[in-house]
Amino acid sequence: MSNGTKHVGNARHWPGMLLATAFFFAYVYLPIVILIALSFNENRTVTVWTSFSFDWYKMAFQNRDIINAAGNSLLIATVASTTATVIATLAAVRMSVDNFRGKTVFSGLIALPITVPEIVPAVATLMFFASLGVTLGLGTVIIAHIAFCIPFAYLPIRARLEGMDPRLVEAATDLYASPVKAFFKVTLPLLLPGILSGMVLAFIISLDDFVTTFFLGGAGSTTLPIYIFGLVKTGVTPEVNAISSLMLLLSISLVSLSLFLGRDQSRK
Amino acid sequence: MRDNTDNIAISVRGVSKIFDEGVNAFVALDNVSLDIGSNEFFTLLGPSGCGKTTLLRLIAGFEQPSQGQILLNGENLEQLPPFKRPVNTVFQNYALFPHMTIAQNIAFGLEMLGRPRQEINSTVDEMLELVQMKALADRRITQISGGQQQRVALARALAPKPKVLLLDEPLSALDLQLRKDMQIELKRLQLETGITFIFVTHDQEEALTMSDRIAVMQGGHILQIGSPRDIYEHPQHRFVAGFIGEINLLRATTGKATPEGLELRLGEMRGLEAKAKKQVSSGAKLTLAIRPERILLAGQDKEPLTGKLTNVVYHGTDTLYHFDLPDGQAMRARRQNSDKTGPEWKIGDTISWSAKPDSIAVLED
Ligand SMILES: Nc1ncnc2c1ncn2[C@@H]1O[C@H](COP(=O)(O)OP(=O)(O)O)[C@@H](O)[C@H]1O
Ligand SMILES: [Mg+2]
Repeated sequence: MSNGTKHVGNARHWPGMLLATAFFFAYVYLPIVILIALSFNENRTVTVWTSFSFDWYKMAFQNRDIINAAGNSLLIATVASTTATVIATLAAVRMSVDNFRGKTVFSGLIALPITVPEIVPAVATLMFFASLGVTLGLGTVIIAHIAFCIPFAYLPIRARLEGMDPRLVEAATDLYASPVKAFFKVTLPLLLPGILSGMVLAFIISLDDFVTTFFLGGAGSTTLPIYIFGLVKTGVTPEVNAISSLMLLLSISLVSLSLFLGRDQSRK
Repeated sequence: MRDNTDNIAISVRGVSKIFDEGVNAFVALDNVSLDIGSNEFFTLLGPSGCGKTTLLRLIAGFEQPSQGQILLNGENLEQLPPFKRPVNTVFQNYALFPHMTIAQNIAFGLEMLGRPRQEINSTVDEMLELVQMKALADRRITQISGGQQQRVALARALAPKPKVLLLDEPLSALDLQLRKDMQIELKRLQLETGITFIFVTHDQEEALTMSDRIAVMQGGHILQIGSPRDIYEHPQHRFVAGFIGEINLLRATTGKATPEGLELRLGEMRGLEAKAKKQVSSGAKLTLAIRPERILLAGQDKEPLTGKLTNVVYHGTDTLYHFDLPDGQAMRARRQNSDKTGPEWKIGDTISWSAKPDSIAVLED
């Protein structure tokens, strides 16, 4: 941008910009802030503040259904994100060493599911399992979660690979490392921040998922989002606020971790 | 070409490298042949894009020749992947492992070879000593300067004691003073280790000062191979003459054969003689090359050839005289400032000059 246009183009000089920004923040974050606040409300009525308490958190932790649902959520997210990350790592590394026709298209196809409405693969997978006569449950949910986690794990790994000097692997093979050793001694350690970042991202996406889990779940596969949905239908209690706040805390921690791991260490 | 085949480390035989296919096909190396002796400091010299890196990559095994063979101590390397070749590379951008310390970088090759821990430790110490990096052994690569990285890259490649060390413009990223120091350092390391060095550079001065022999490359071809003195004094090619040092390239016609060699005419002017290697018919047009410092300048009528001074440039140790020949060709002569005053020639003066037959190179184009 040249100096002449910089002044005019500077968003600081647009009227109403500040107001719009303030409105955006309020619009997005105010309900969340209120939810968190109400999770500490002693009163049962959701809308009236009386006094501060941890009662709803205590109740949530004593509720067996909630504990089960949380356990399912963590199990599904752990298995799905790890499996997806292994597959995504192999795909990304393979894609970076091979030069084949249509590589760009193929690479795009790996990332495409992110933009496809989730309901489409969910219904498709449901039909697939139904036609095979598979009973829906934890297993089917995990399989479906692995599938939609792959692109989320793939992207940070791919980005990290693209920033890697191909000479480093050549240097390793020049110094008597077989291709397998070069992978474990050089490629993998350098890729690790991207891999961990991808895994955390996949974990959050899985933890948060509703649509796919709802379609492909069965008896014994209730996750936290599904459980909360069920509670809300019978009326929102501050207990729901408490669980939601905890999930939010976990997500924020994981996102921060992902950003921290994915940051470019070579930059000073 | 060397006679004693026992002492040849690397033999490149009729190697071509063609990148891509069809309309995009690009010949990076065209039928290149050379023999490099063991313990030799051999330099590939040429402008950017002439195929120097490609030749190194073929020797290291990162690329396969499209045609021809590369032999190491008489053994064909074709079936040998890079990690099985006793050849190490100092990469142009060093390519040090950023997730390892300096000592870990140097130990890498030895670890991959499965050497015992004790041997690895003592070799790493020895290498750190050799490149004077002992104090920094546990630093990370990101915490040291470019010159230090250069030394680590060198130590890392030398640690497994390869038969041949390939160095791809290792000094080009360093500033002038550091580069001069490292030139001396590299030469010392080569003599101490006795390893064959194949050194790539586009800097002719670097090539002249460091090498046992130089191959001058252009556009995927090797134009001339010889000692620095040979390349400088007896360039066989117009490109080689122009690329290395300062030189006068003159269009001349041949006169009659003389006992010394061949009479040459510059326009109508006679009096220049060259040692002709092969028979050239009288009246043939050719290019000859004379280094400015080989021209003997004198006042008017003292020497057989003439010129008209167009410029005089004082350079401290010497003075550069620009003059035009009667047929209009421009020339330069360099003269040592061996006394305080020097000759009192002024621009516009007619001077006389000569050059010994063995100072004149007759070139192929
Ligand atoms: N992998 C490749 N694919 C296509 N062309 C290449 C490749 N590597 C090198 N070249 C081309 O080959 C020529 C010689 O390159 P290189 O050996 O790197 O030259 P130098 O090291 O002498 O500067 C250049 O024109 C370069 O563009
Ligand atoms: Mg190069």
